[in-house]
Amino acid sequence: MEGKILALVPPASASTAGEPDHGDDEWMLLARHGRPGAFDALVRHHQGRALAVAYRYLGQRELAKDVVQNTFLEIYRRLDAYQPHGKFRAYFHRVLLNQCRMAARSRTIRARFQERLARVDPDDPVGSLPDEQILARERERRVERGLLCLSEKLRAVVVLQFCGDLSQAEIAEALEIKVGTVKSRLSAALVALRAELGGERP
Amino acid sequence: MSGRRLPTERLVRHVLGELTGEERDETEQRIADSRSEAERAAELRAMTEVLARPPAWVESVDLAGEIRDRIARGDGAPLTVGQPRTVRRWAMGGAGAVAVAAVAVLALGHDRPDTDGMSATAAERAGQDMQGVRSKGPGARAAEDPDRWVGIRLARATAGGAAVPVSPGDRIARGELQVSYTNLGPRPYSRLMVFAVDAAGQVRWLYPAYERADTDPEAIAIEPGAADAVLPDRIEHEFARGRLVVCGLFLRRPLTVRQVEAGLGGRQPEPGARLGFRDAGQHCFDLEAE
Repeated sequence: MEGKILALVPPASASTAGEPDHGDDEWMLLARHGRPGAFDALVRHHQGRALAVAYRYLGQRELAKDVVQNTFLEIYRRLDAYQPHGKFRAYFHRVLLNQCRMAARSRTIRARFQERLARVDPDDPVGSLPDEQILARERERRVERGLLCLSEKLRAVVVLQFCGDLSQAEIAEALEIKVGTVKSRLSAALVALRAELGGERP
Repeated sequence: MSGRRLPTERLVRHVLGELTGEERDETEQRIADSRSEAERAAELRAMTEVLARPPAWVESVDLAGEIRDRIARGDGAPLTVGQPRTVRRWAMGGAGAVAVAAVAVLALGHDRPDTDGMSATAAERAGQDMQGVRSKGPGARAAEDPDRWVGIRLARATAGGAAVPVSPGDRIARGELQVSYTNLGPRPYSRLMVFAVDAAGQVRWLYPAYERADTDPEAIAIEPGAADAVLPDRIEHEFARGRLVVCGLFLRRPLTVRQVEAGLGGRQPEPGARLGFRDAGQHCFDLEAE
């Protein structure tokens, strides 16, 4: 039984720009009808990218896990109302970003957010890594810190494009903006991020 | 442009593959000719590669079990939180509607036509019930849909205290109802009114509370960004037998119950019809009252 369900899992690249992703819709319908394992499969298919998006957006690993869990629960609560139009990824990331924003609004979180700008993640020791990996990790941290300095609008576009691997049409759908606005925000975000990292003037 | 450093914005667009024709050729030539420009382009590419690479720890995380446990504990149920109080509300259907019609007209706007110039069918509108992503298409068109990220849900209170979700089309008997709402999107609303119009044309108010005929309460304040937020009361009404239309009206400025009743004109909204209130989102669905 499980084998048949797993056969429905689309490959990571199944959803290309403009093409509906019916694999996710099928999982949602199976989950709605109580098919064992269907929602688990949906979680496992999307959790990696979702964690990356939430982590890059919030800058905190544990908080990102909480946010992604809450996102899936939110999706589960709305199973009955979901209409399968092949746009699950945009829908999912819309809910995910809303959860991120709600988490970031908390005063405590904001305080930690500022704190994180000034220090390295204690959950992520680098002492035992080879020099090359330490340098790579340091570059990653600088990018993460730079991301947190961007405005919410710019950061959202960057994380959806690069961490969520969404097409620009999907980003437009998720954020309810035009594709042209996605392009301009993305360009502005990378210019600002480059300035944060390297001191280059835009 | 030669002799001056390439603007970062140009390099970014180059890395994103968004340059075309002459601009692209010129940029590639400058990168080929200048070591410093090549280094800048390489740094940008490295930056985007870092962004695209998931953090290493992500691979070792599997949330499915914890999520399954939380669903089993009831975290995934839409309406089971809180200790709501029970109230019984009056029906004030049509009271004073004519008298305030002139006022209400000021608050009403014309129903907008669909962007493709065609009338939305009832079936299309009915298909908008609190769904995730609508079928109207990406980008600007979807952003114009005021109902896109709003919705209400009802739940019927059981003797044991649990709340059982009521789905569109369900038959309901007299009993306590609980309401939850979702108010997402880039421009969430700030006010909400929830009411039902029964087969006799009576408007039964769930929110705001409308319990005295000499009052005219206004829309309640709601939380922007809320998803399935449960409102505090359990409300009991007696509905006329037959078709019952339940509506959530999401607003940016508060209307009063009389303004809305005047706008409804003592009639049940047709399936899929817009109520016609300006700058408002709505979610209406049919039930069958026993």
